[in-house]
Amino acid sequence: MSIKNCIDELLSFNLDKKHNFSLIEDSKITSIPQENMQKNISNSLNDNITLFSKIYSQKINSDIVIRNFLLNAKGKQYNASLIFIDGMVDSEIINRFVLTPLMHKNQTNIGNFQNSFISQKQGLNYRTNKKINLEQSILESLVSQNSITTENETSKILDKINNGFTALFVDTLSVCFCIEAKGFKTRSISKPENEIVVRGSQEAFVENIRTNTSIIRRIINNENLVIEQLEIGKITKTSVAYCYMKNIANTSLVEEVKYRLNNVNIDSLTSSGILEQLIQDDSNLLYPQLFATERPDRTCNNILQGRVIILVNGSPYALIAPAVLVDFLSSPEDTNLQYQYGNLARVIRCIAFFIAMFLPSFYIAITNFHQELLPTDIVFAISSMRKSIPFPIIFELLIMEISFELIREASLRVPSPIGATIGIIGGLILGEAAVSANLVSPLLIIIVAMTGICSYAIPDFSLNFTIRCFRFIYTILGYTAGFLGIGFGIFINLILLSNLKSFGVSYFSPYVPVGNKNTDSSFFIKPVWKREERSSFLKTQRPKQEEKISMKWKY
Amino acid sequence: MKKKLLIITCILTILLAFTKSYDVKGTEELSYIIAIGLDKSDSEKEPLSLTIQIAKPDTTGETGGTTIKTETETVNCNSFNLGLSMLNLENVNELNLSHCTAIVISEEIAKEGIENFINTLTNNIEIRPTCNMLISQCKASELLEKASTIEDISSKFYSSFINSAKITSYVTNCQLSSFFASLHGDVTEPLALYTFIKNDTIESIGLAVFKDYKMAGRLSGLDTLCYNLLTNEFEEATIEVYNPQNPSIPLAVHLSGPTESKIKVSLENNVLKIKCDISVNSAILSASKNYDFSTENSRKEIEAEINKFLKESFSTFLNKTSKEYNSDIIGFKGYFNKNYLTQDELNNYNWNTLYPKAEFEINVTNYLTSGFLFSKN
Amino acid sequence: MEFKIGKYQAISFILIVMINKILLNIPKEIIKQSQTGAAINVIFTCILALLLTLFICSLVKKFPDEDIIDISKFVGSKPLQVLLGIAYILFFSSIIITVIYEFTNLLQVIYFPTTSVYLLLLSFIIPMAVASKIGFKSILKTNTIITIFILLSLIVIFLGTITNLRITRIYPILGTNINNTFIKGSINIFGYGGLIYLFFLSPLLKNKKDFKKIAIISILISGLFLLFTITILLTIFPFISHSEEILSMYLLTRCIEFGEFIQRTDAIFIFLWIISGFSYLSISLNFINIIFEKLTTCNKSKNYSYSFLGIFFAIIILFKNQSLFKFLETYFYKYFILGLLFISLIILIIANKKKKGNSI
Repeated sequence: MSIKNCIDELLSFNLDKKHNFSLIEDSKITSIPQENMQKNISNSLNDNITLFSKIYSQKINSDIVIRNFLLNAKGKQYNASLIFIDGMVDSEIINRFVLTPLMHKNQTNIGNFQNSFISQKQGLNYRTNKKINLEQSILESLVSQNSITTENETSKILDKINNGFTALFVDTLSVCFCIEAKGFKTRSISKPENEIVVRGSQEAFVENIRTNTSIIRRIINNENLVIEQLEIGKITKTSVAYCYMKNIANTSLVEEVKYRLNNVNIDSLTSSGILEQLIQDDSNLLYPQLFATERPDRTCNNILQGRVIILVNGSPYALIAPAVLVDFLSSPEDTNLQYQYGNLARVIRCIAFFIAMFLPSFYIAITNFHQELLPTDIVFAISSMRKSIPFPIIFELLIMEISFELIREASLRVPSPIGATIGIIGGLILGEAAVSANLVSPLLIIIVAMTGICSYAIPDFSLNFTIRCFRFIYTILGYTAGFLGIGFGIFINLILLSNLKSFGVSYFSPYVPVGNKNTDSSFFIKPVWKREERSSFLKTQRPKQEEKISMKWKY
Repeated sequence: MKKKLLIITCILTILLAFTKSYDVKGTEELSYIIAIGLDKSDSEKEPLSLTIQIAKPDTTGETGGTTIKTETETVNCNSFNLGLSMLNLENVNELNLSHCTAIVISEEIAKEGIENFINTLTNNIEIRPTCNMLISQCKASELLEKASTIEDISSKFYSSFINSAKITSYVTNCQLSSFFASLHGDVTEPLALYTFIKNDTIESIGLAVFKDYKMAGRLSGLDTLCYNLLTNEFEEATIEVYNPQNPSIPLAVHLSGPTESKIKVSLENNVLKIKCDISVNSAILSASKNYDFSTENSRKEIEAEINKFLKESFSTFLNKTSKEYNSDIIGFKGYFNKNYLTQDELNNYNWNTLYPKAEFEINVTNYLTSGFLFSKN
Repeated sequence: MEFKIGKYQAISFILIVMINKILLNIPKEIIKQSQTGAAINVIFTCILALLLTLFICSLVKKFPDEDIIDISKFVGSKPLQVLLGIAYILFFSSIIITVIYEFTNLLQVIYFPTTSVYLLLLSFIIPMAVASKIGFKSILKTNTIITIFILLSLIVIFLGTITNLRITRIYPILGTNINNTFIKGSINIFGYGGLIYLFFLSPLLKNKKDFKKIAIISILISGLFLLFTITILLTIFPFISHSEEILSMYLLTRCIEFGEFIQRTDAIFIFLWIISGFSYLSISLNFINIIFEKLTTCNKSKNYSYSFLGIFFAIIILFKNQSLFKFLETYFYKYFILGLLFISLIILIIANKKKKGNSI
């Protein structure tokens, strides 16, 4: 290839080919409002099943199970259905104490009219005259389960199902039996390891996807939650679930997630980290574009905000899409605390972000190009400290930065009992020795340590890496041309970031473009009673999440 | 792949091309000049004698604590920039002016005119406009040498000794930027601090008054106090006034701001009438036996005494500047300009001839407040 | 345009244009023109500019989806469009050349005395190239972020220097004479360079109704900043009108002092201004792209922006001596902007008449 082609290639644009997705405003789909919903269930099984499968979006919802069977009672057979949420119930109980007694012909089932069969085509009123109290018989003699109630209000039944009850619908009966067969898989739901908070729930996701969905179900507790499931990987066929609130999340966002997940063409998928890289918008940019969390409470908050979360079987992390820059600087605790505390923490984190990214580069730019910026005493202090050091300042800085990164990397590997020791040895002794050997100046140790500490204050693991990468780039730029170099870097970085979208949402939302800031995803959090709206950049179907007066007791 | 290679080579070439800036001197390779001194030299060929005071940071002790010593160096030269490069030759490190806090000019050279180098100094990108302007009674080199022998000297020496002198109100802010602005704008005349060596220390009392590029004369400490009061830069001062109760012991009075002086300049029969209203707060510091300051009579008496004292000082100060030096350092011209809407109207009057004949009317009011004294026995 | 911008992006876009002009010697030119009357003159020209803005708003109203280049085609078909387009391209090019020149010159004098000019030029050209590669939308988004910081920096400068000012220096308040301040001084409306960009704003807007609001707010804010800058410059540096080269705002930053600790902060301001300069340059370059696209049939004008950049680079290098830039900066810019304003207004008026005629 000639140089000309090379240059052509370099200067040509592939932008037009790029998949460019942005959120479209939903045409305000009016989801079934609670009032318009059928208040009581009917006595037709078909009607009931249709109603509930519609409410639960059973066709796409993966963990809603509707089991149709024939019920034997008093020698007759009725169409019947069980509705329950997989993962919330103990299937053993259902099998042994619900389905077996109902389906098998046993003593209590055999009656006088053994051969009669009520088909659906026949009128329903027909057989009720016969004064067979089916309801009574099921309650009293068929289901051998300790806790069972009858309900006929739709909303109450929904609540029960959401809570892990199993609903039994029988044709001809306008009541529903709610059988308690709760059985959460609570195996080893342990404390979160990496996102530790003081005030907040102490459970974390586990590897099993069904357990994770059941945790989410239990927290959200609403029939509008949809957990769709699909398989990715031609060989592994890993189950991947994406969850959203069907009456909140923007439909085009859901479609986009579905589209991307369905078009991942790989042999194997073993972790959410791989999936993240496969579906994010721009993999060359160093910034994370999907938010990974191991905390169910945080995940649920995001689902309720109108985002879509993605769970991968075998990975205890949920991916949240879309994610904006502010999300990576926020901790789940912020919203649990009073808003003033949360804001203080966020400001500190923001300062930490800038220090971690820019401190070394600014130090090098100032000492090399803009010495006048420093107060006179500090200049003298620096120059006297550096008098005896043989290396140029960039070399000194890079040595320290790299050795700090080494300590960090090494202390990850060593067994935990001596991990702390490595940190102490590395940090204290090495630094002290380096200073007394006149290899580095004490001020530089302060700067590198400060940067290190600040980078740990960033709550997100991926953003931490971003900062570490950019720190080196900026250091070199600062060394090359001082503030001009850093300004050059910042401008290009900003331009690239402004162009970045995470699932159709601008990365700087809600600040650029300007959106409403009284939400959970703005940098400065408002008091809880003022967070009346959901983030406008998510273009949700339900923009409001609170009434104007949320503290009714007060007014 | 080739694209990546190309990008990498591009980045590398740019980085390499900037290598010229790699040898930009780091902090440790620079010598910082704290003050510049300008004298008249003995030789005729090189009329200017340039003295610099350089900070020499020293690492002492194991803890790495630093003390800063300063040294002075002098060179004879033709112009400031040439002198600086000659001094650069003598020094191991490159000289840097960005931390220079004082420009000291000897009275001798100031009286002859400083237009040769003041423009160079202002145009120098490293010298800050916030640099202090000092006129020394002795040779500037002597003053700098004295300054470098004073112990505990730090980089802030000049700014701190000027700041500490400010509580007497015998000095005022004289920065390079305002000095230069006064030279070029026509509203005020330049000012510099007047400094001298006294009893092995450096003292700064009063101001050196310039008329254009030449030093016209000197103002005493009390004059400077008046200057500060008139320009609203006054913070606090202590004065001694005649004690009406006990003439043998003068009364110490503390003056404090906020002051609000009102200046009105008008032209009547081709004579400038300058009216100054000054108000100031005062408090009595010294107490004499059995004298009650709190009665209405005594208060009025003392207030009148203070007013009289201030009025006298003002009239000597104003007469000195107008009649003797013909230098409008207060900026009365600005107030005069206020009376006219356009420059064309103003062009009919020549300020320089009007000002020396100006008549002043000074009104001082002061409010005596309690000084928390234990006066009664 | 395939994308639309919101209110804040539009305001910050007009503002960055104005602020960069404030940073780059516009105040000095105005002070030179009307001496001590500059403060009054700025208020006067601000009112003029606002009236003009209102006028433009009423004219542009009928053409919500067309910029001045499209309108000129509507008025005088292709030839007029080409002529006007070339004039605008020249205008934006002159802006880019002077801004790059000013910045590199400043930087070389202050920080890079030994670095070659080529590299300093490159460090301005490369961000522009990258920005034009990424697209106009990102530039405007970035610009919104940058503008906030620049405005803050200006406010800090005002606050920091306010102690130094000597208010009597603005007298006599009407300058040399009334003629110079108001009649000849009305030429100072060139300081409101943002007006030119208003002709291009309407098709970019998401909500066309906001146009009037955006235009007035941005002109008002920039007028306010211009007023502050000029008053402060006038009362601190009476000699500013006969100073050379160095940016007037840079002189101000050198005087800022907050106590004993915060001194000599000019490098930080230079740092911010460099970023704002990048933003301003990229916006101007993108306008060249837009116009070029409209004049020619090529739809990937981004590719040609490199050629434009190459030409600018060459021009700056060829005319190393200052006279060309002095000419561009003082006379060309001043009179060209007024000429363009005038011609564009006339075209708009004719277009309005024509449209009325068509509709009847």
